[in-house]
Amino acid sequence: MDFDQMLETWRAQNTAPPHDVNRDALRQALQSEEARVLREVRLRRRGLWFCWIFGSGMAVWAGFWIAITITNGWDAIYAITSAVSVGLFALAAGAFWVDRGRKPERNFGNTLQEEARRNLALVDDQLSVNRRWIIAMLGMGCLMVGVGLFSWTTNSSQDISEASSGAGWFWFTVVFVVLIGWASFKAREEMREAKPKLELRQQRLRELLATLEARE
Amino acid sequence: MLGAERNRVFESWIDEHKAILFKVARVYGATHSDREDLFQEIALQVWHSVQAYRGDCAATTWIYRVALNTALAWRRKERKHGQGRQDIEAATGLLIAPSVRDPRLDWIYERIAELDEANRSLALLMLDGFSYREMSQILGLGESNVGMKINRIKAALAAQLAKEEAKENNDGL
Repeated sequence: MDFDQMLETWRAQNTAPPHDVNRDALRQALQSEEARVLREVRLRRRGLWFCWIFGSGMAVWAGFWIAITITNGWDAIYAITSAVSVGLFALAAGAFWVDRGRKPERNFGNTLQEEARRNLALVDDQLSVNRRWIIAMLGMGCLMVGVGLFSWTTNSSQDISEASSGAGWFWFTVVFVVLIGWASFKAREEMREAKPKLELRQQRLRELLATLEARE
Repeated sequence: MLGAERNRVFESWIDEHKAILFKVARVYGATHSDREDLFQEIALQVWHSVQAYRGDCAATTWIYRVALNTALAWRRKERKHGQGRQDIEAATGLLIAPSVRDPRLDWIYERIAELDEANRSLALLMLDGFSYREMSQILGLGESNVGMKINRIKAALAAQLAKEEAKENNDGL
């Protein structure tokens, strides 16, 4: 066998592959994968809903605590920390609400214009991935700090000792905030590299779409 | 892209380009069960990638890129976790074995298997007639680097072919 014969033997596989695929087994594997992806999406969506409801509920509860503090004439510091907690919980709820709302548009038809619109929607979605991720992390951070602060407020105002858990909670929050900051920084770096290409593609798609619409 | 459309594109890719998946699975999988496992992994990654495909390159190039990246990641994972797996445990029945084997094709696969992992990818692409530019795009290497490596692979294959021919001649005498 010389080199050309070797190439010929090799390329013959393209027209007559030596193996065949068991379509049923492949379909089964695909269905399992689809189900797994769907489960992940549902889990994420439920997680976001839970965080949104929890953040909103805590904001209401902290607001109620301000009213109790004022009514009972407790120290002003508890009203202030409760107010800060309300702000943090409201910010967290807002962040989760914004994060769950955005999805790329998928229901387009098959014309060239619709293909361009579909691609544009996907590029827009890719451009917003990093922003959405940072928003979700911001929401999580606000929730953590808010829970810590509000927990301190309720315990201190009721003279419940926090000696055993206070320091642990503080360091947990610090580590969590540092991790979020670091992960957000890395995500931002990656996005900074990908952004010029995506924006160029977005610009071209918009121009293409404008040209196609002008022809009509 | 809707789920049904994605599945339609995937089915048509499998119909037209399944040979790529077989080749990559055979080059990187040592046993039949490894190949089945890798073939399934590549097929799933190709299915995932359908939505990301924008038509910027040929479908063949895209599928090769996905398949080779998956195979390299799979090898890393296997080295870490998959030692000592038994054939019978992993068999999925995904690949239907050929009734007749081509010994020349087996010989080519054996020679490719002797190369290191990165060079196996290059050998696959070279044999399938990709240009240096396409290979560099698929593998993320510089064109000159690709050229240099391909020349070495070709020289190694030519030497093996010459050795094989000499052996055949000696056997014939």
